[in-house]
Amino acid sequence: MKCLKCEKDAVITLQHGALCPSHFLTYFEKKVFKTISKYDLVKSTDTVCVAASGGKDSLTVLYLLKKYAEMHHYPAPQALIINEGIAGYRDGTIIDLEKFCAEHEIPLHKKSFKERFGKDLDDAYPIINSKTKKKPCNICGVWRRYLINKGAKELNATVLATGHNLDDESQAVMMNIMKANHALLPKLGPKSGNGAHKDFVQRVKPLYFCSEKETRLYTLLKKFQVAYTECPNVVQSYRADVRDLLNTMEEKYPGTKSAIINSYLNISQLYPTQQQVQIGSCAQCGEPSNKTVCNACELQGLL
Amino acid sequence: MVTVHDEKTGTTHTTVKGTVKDILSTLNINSETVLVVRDNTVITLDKEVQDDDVLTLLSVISGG
Repeated sequence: MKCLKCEKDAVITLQHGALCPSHFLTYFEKKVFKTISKYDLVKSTDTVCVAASGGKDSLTVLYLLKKYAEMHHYPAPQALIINEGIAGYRDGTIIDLEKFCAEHEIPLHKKSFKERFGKDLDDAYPIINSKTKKKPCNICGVWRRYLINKGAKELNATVLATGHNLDDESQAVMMNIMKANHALLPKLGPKSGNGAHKDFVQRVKPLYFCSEKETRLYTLLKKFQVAYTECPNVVQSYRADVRDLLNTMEEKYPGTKSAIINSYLNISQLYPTQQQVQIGSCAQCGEPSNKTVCNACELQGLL
Repeated sequence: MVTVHDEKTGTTHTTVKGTVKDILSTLNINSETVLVVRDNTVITLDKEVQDDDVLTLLSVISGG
């Protein structure tokens, strides 16, 4: 297949046509920059912190937010990584991230489950699972979100960017619908997490409209050094089943994932805004919580 | 025969020639989950693959 713009050999087929490497790179960057400006994800006055893992999505977000900042003369972003303590997984991505940040002159900050909660995920999981039947992703998700927000606040960040992509977001919409988690639906979207509590840092997702396949191709063409590893715990997750289901649908009916998030964006206007859903503070740690004791402290209490 | 290396599993398969789409279908691999590389170049699903060609499948799924 030939590129629709220049007749060179294409490297990807998108819904509107196929693209060669150079036209794909331009298309991808334009799409991300358009998402940032259309949804007002970053302003000139913002201090931006990127929640990074060293994987393809977070490196792409870091690189493009830095490029966007340079283009608009905004302050450069900083990176924050959470070490969950998952053997054979996180250590490699931390090394990739350290190299990337050094090469691109991006300040890198680190936090860990062990330092804040007293144990690595690998050690905490069997204890918590024996009492609650919770899967590793349930624990990891709660503690990661907690530490990312806390870490971003400590850096005085006004915006916390994540590498969530089209695949992540379409999965999240479907998971919340299939589990009837209606209360969580307003928290999705390219911009979320502000207004409900003074200590919540605004979350933004510059890759909201970019598929996992597009992002992998972008990092490959840009020659970013990334270990393409999958968390060993993901096979146990509900999300992995939804991911496989949506990939099957996307292959048979191209555009399915985009349709899900576009439907979500239209429907989300019917939900109350987060400013209307005020929440309180955890009695133990003071972090934002809709319960007396937040989920992170509750899980820590089981250790 | 066509040789196919799967980067994620570290396995190697051999299969009959055809389009990339045919080969992925034969190997029961969802085309949404991989990029297909031949001679250091990513190729699209419609490309014809010949005998003795070597393909590498790059998983697009990472993280948790």
